[in-house]
Amino acid sequence: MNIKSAIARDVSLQSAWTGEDRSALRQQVGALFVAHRDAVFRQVLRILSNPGEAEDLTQEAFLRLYSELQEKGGMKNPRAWVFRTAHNLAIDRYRASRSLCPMECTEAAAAIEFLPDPGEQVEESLLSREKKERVAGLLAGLSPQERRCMELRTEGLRYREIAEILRVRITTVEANLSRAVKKIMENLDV
Amino acid sequence: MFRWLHGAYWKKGVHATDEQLLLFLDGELIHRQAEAVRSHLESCWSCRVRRQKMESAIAGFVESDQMLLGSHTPPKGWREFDTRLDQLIAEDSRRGGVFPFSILRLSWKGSLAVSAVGLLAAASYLVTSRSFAPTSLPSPVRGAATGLVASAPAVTAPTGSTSAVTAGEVRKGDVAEVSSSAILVKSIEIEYALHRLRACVGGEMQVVRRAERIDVTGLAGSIDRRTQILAALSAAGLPQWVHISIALPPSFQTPIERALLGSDDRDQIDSAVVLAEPRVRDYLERTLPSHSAPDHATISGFSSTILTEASAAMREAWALRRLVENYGDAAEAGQAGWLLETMVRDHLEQILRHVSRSNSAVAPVFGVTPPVGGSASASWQAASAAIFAETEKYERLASALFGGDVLPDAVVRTEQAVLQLRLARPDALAEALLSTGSAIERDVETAQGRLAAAFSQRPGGRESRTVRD
Repeated sequence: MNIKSAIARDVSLQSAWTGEDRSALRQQVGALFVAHRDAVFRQVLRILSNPGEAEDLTQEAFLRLYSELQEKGGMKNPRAWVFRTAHNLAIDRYRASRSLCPMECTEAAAAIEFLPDPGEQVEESLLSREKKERVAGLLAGLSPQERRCMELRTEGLRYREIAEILRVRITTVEANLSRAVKKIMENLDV
Repeated sequence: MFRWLHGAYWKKGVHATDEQLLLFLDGELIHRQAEAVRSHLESCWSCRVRRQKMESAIAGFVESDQMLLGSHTPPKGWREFDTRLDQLIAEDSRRGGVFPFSILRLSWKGSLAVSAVGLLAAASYLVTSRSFAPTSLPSPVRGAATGLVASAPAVTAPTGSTSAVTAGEVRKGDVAEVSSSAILVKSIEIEYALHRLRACVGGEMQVVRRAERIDVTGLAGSIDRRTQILAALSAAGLPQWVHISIALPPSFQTPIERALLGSDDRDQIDSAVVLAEPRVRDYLERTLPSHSAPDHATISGFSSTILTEASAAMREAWALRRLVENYGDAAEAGQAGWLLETMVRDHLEQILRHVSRSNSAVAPVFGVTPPVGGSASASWQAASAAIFAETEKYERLASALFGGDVLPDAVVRTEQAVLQLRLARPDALAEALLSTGSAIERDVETAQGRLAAAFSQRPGGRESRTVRD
């Protein structure tokens, strides 16, 4: 489904959310879930790097969408709302887990670092390292907000939606995207 | 800002700025402005080259982003969403209004982000709300210096409940009429609510089915954890015949202390940070290439990783065993069978994950290839029992190998002839560990296969569910 049809679908659903028909609402939230879950999942995954948690929080965001729609009867842009909710949940989870899982970033990581990956051939390992270095080089210097803006834009979100998700002005989004592209151009040396 | 500049001050012959070009590429300019840029690009090679460079940069970012995301897919394939949404709707309709149900489904880690004030307010809400008013059992808090036992409340389901489990539900005074199937179904629903909070592992909470009631007991690490568990249980719907008792330790940490000091997992990890068994340390130093010879901290970290994984697998195996013992023969679970299957599958996946991680780390260090093992159990229950036994052995071997523990008598007795000879050889012990890990992996696969077959044949099983995707 392309972006325009997804948005059109969201808008067309708004009229039906005003009633108390839970079954209809359930179907509509189910349709939104199918349409946007992968994009939301990817966005949460970018923050948490944990597919299990990303799946859990994606579902959580859509469950909250149901409650929100049930309570308010409708909303202007459910896609942006669910992205924002998922984004906030992921940030909260990240902050909590950062103080809870020292193993992942300290001893354990150091311990595993020297071990060869049993499932990886030497060529693959080199390729993987080269790719990682290339990515690190490309993204060097991007601020977290610039990167978030780029990631959300990659998911097809419009500037106003990105502004809504990150709770910033639309001009801030424009500036962030422009700076990010400029930095990547410099890193690419194009 | 950029739109305004462009719209108001665009002059013929002046090059478009990078900002204007990006807005143009992203379709963010209004029609008139977009036309002006397009017209300029047609005549200006310099700006066209810059546009191409910008598109290359965007393409580079998208490619990098895809590379970082890799091929990750949702581990459970969105299976749970329909169940969770249905539960939310059922709960919503039972309450006859809106209830912020989903917030109660945050995992315990997520809950740390919630402030103490919010949690205490939620606790206050739970005990003061009309829907959750304590009934038969008041909530005595006995002695601040001793173990606080908050006996809580058997709570009353609101009148007019439409839940599918209310067929056998009774009101106060009719306790004798509760049907065993209603108790079974409600019991699985409660297990699932606890499962979602990971309160099913490590013996934190237990659900005991009795003839006419369900007892939910446990020990929560803090007030907010207890509040979280109570909230989740309440959200699952609690008839009068569900009795809850969640104790608190004599002194519990404040949320801030907990955030600083860590929680259950942290405690478990800290306790696992021990010196590697001397023979293993010597072995690693001898066998690893000199340029990567690990220092003391690295070996300790490596050992603690294996111990942590083995211990985590054991906790999952305990939880799995408890499910098998309590619900292994629950053929009449009906709709709740789906929840049971999900819980069993989660534990199997977790066991597999922990054991695989541990084996993957151990195998290359000792240069041992794990053999193919496992049993051909005829049912998921039998396979689960085998998994429990193997995981227990795995944890003990890991403790002996990496924790400096003496190999337990039970294990020595089991394979006395072989293991006693190997005790002086870490690589032989590692081989036994890897072999056990492989057996677990195979048994998990067997259990998953049997599970799919068993539940697809039941009412409420996967084949009878509507696939919405």
